[in-house]
Amino acid sequence: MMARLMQLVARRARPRPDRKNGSNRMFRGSLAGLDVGDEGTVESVVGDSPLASRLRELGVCPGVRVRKLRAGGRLVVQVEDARFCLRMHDAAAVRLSPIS
Amino acid sequence: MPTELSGGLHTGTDQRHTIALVGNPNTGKTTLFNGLTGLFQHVGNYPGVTVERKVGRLRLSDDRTVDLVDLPGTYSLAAHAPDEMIVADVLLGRLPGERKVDAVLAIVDASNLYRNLYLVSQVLELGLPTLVALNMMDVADARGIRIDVDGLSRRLGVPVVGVCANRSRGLGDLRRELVQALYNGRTGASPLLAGFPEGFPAAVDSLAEVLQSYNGQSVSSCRAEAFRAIVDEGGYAERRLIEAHGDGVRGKLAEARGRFSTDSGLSALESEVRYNWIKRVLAQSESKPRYLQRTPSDRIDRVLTHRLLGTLLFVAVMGVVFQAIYAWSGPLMDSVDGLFAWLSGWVGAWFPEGALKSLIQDGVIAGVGGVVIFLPQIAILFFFIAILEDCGYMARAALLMDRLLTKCGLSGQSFIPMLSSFACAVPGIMATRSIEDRRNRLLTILVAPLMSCSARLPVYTILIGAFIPAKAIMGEWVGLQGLTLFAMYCVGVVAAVPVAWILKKTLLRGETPPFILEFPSYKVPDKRTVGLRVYHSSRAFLVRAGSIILAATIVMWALAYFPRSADTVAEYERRRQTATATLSGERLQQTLSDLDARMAADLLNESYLGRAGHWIEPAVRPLGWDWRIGMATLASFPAREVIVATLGTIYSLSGDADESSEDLRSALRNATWEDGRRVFNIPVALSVMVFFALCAQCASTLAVIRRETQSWGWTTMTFAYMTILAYIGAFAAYQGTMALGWG
Repeated sequence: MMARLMQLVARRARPRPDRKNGSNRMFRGSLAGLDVGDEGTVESVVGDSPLASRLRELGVCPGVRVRKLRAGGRLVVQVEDARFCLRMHDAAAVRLSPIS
Repeated sequence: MPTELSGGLHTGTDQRHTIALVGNPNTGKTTLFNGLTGLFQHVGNYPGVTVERKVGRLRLSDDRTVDLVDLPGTYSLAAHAPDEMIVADVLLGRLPGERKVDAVLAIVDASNLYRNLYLVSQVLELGLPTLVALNMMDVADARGIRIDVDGLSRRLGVPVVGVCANRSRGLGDLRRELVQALYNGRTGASPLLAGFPEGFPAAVDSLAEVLQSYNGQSVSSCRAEAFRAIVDEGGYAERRLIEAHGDGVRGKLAEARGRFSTDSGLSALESEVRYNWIKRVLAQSESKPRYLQRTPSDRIDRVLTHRLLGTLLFVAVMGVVFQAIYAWSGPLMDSVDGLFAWLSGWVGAWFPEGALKSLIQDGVIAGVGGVVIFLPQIAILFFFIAILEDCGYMARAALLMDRLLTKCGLSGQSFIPMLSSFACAVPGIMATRSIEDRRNRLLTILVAPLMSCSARLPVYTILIGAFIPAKAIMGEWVGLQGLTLFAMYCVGVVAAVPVAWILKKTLLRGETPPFILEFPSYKVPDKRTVGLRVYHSSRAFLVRAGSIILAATIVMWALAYFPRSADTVAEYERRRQTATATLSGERLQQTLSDLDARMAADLLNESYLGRAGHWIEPAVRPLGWDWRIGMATLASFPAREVIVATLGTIYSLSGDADESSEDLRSALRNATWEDGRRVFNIPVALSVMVFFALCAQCASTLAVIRRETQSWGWTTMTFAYMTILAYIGAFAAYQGTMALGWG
């Protein structure tokens, strides 16, 4: 029963788009605007903040492909074989060129 | 350093070598460290700072032993957070009082080489003999990742050994290769400077030469330091250099930077160059079945980080932990209790009546025994924290809590320090070192002591056991006692919200700091890692019970025993004789024991403690307390669990109690005011518990805050706000519940 329940939840969670910011222009083309399950290629990490340099150190570099695993205020992104959680407004610093 | 490790194993006569263990967080570094050193570990502090310094004895394949230093997990030597600064300092040999590192053992996660090689590329530039341990080969294998170990070794220029730390596989090879690395070690290829603009390497070299003329260290280490100082503008390396060599360095740094200004800064260029190098290395030595592979962890995360279900499961997990602490520990605690009761009986039979017997029975056994009984609960709490941390759940919990924590000015990064503070605020406050933002870190330190630590558990347990009825509510599932315990844990959390919010709005105003958290893959917790964590914390608790609590107990006993007026003793002796002469049978027995109790009470009233207690009674009266509770509380300011010991001693001396805690409970129930009313009722018990939930009664915590904040101001402030809050909280709890008619 538990397994069935988990399956149901998993299925529901997957295709949900990033509702809050799907229509927000500011986030278009950034990691924040990516839909759950979609992939994108990093174009650049904007700025020289501690957050930007940490992201770069963690491998979020131009040309690297990333996938979004969770949407919302705290999103989860897969970079190569690692997964990171960051806040949506921080994720806006990661500019993407989406893969169709 | 060798002195603190001497004993037991030391066989060689020469100066032992030091090997530093470095790696990213979540690479199995601690597991490897435990596997290599076993129980021969020493946990201490670096001189001057409270960063935990873990050193273990490692026996190499040629039977030589070396010191293995477990450095905090870090992603980069660029050092954003205090614990990363320690890693950089130790590797560069810049920590005063710390021996130079002879070789580096770099552990990397084979299933995530891309990210892990970033730190390795920086370590290779230090010019130290280096060995790379490729951990989690089994996980990489299961994901179809093939690694050409020899090829990787050739490209990195240092030996690479595949290991499975959690199954102790490959450790023998590691011991053998370490001998090679130490005694004819290769220092690896420096991949970096070639990718930078022309002329930049020369600028680094010229600064490195200046540094070398100051400190006489090796060329590579000076070059690495110069590089960091130039690249991380306003960063830790720059601050350090200016501190060490004065403002002259500032000009040299500006000069080096000025020539190479780029659009996105030198640090962006650094990561680009390093990752390009990593891509080249991996293209030739690693093959993957698919890019951005999905793993079982991702599927579990859909449930565990789900907005609703994940939150419900989080609450359920926390509920299980607290229920377990209260319910499972019962039988174990009973056996500890039995042991001390037996000990007390044995002492009673052997020692002659007098001050010495009283000291041992009423002071040491009643006091220390009353504290040691909580060992099972502390072990269970640390057991759960170790499991949750080791299996990877903590990071997910931090995600779920980030929203809530952001609202009161904290962040998800504060979650792990706060949760650790439920075990003990000292490791909790030390865990804040991974928080980069200074304000956020200070804020976490200031509210962490409000989390109900395991030392408060004894107070709650005693008072709940004595005064809260063992009723089941909501069917069989939840007991009223367990619920009260949970409520006590909530008091601190609930108080922390406005405190953090006010601090954030006033003294620690600033923008919301950034937040990045790695989600490690889920794994079965490592038995040894969990076991050692429980062992170390249990031992620390027992050491505390044997030192500070024992000392406080003896002082309290002496204050409560002396001056023991001879007049009073003689007076009661006279009455006893009169009774024996005039009464007989059951009435005689009853009168005699009544006289004993009254003598004990009179002596306690006349003691130094009694006099001081009556003097402070007006201050604690509004909280519903009598002078005995007031004195016991005052005595617990160095360490709060002392209250159980001192209550044990006071009530033991006042003739109401025996030594074991079961009897302390009945003594508390039977304690009366002068007019015969009971001292304790539910409001008084709640008032005492709320006071202990909120008050800063822990010298160790205050000492750690002082060292971590480097400021007496913040330390005093923590003490003051918590003590005032505790008084107000206890007052409200007592007056409120009295008004509700619970008395």
